[in-house]
Amino acid sequence: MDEPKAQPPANHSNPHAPVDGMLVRRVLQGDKQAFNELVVRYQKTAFAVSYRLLGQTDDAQEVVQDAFLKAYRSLDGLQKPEAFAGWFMRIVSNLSLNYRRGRKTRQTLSLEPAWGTDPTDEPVSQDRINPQRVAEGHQLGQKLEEALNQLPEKQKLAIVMFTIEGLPQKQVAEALQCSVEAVKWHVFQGRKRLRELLKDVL
Amino acid sequence: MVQGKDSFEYSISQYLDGTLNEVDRRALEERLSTDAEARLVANEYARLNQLLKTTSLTPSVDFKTLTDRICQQIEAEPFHTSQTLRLSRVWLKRLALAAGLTLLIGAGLYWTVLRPGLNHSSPSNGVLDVQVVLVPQPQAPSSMIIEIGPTDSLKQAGYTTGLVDSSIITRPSRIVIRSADPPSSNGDRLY
Repeated sequence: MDEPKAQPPANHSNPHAPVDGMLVRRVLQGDKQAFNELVVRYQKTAFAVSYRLLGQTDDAQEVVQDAFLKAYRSLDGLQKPEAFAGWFMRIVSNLSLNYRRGRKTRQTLSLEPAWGTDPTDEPVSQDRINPQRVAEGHQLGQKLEEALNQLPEKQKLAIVMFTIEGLPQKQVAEALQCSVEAVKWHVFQGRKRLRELLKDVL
Repeated sequence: MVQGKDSFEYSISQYLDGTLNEVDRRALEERLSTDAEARLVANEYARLNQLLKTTSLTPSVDFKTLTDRICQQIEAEPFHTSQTLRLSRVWLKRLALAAGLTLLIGAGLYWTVLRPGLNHSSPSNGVLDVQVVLVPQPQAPSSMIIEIGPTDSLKQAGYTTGLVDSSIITRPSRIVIRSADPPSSNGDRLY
C-alpha cells in the first residue's frame, strides 16, 4: 500500500491566491471581481456535488448558478468568512435536494415520462441512457457511478466532497452540518460499501 | 466505539487520508507488514481510493461558459455595501448586551444596598462598647487562650452565636487572655 499523501486544499493550486475569507471580505466591501474568483474556485466542486445528487448535467449547472447567486445575496449572513467553502457547499446540496424533490413532483404530474423511461427510475439512471454519456462513459466509471449512487446521501456527499473533490474535512463537516469525526466515519462507511459493491473490479 | 474488523478497516480509511495518528499509524503498518490478509484488504481500499480520485465521474462541462453566466448574473446584482451596516449590527448587539448587563447590575446594587428605607447603620458606624479592666500583671503565663464571641451582656440580652446579626458575630467584642495560673481575686480577664 502506498504511503498516503496529504491532500491539497481544493482548488487552491496557486499558493499565493487570496484565501476565501479575504475574498469574502472584499466582496462585502463591494468588490464583485473577488466573487468571480470564488466562482472559478468552487464551481467544479459545486457541479460535482450537484451532479451527484441530480444526475443531470443541465440541472446541476442550473443549481450551481442559483447557488452562487444565493450565496452572493446572503454573503453578509456568513458568520465566518473563512468557512465559505463549507457554507457554500451546504447551499449547493440543499438546493440540489430541493430541485430533485421539485423535479420528482413535476415528473409525477407529467403525462409522459420525460426521458421515455419508467418515471419511477432514479434521475441518475435516466441520465445514463444519454447516448453522449454512454459513449463517453468508461465501463469502470459507470460501475463506480452506479455504486456511488447506491450510497446513503451523507456517505455519498462525504466521498464526493472529501475523497473526490479534495475539500478539507472541516469544510465538509460544515457542509454536512456534522463533526469532523462524523465526516471521517461517513467516508469510511461509504468506502466500505463501495468496496463490497465493486469487489469484482478491485 | 469501533471494534474488531471495523476498527482495522476504519484505520485503513484514515491512513489513506493521512489523518491517522502516529501511534495508530505505526501499529497499522506493523500489522500490514506481517499479516497478508490485512494487506489484501488494505490494497483493495487503496485501489478503490485511487479509482475514486482518477475516474472522471462527472460529465465534461464548459466551465468557462458557466463562469461567464454566473458572473453576468452577479454583475446585475446590486453591490454589497452592507459591510458597515453588518459591523454596526454586530456592535449594536454588543452594546445592547452591555447596556442590559449594566442595568441589571445597577438594579441589583440599588435593591440590595442603596434602596431607601434600608437600615444602613451597622456596628461599625456606632461606638464600640469596650470595657477595659486593668489587671495586675500576673507572672508570665505558661499558656494563653483567646476566646472570641459576644460579651456576657449581649449573651444576657439573648444574642448567641449563629442567631445574632452577622455584623455582631464577625466583630469580636470580647477577647479573653487566660493564663494557666489560678485567677487572682480581681480576675485576670481583659474585657
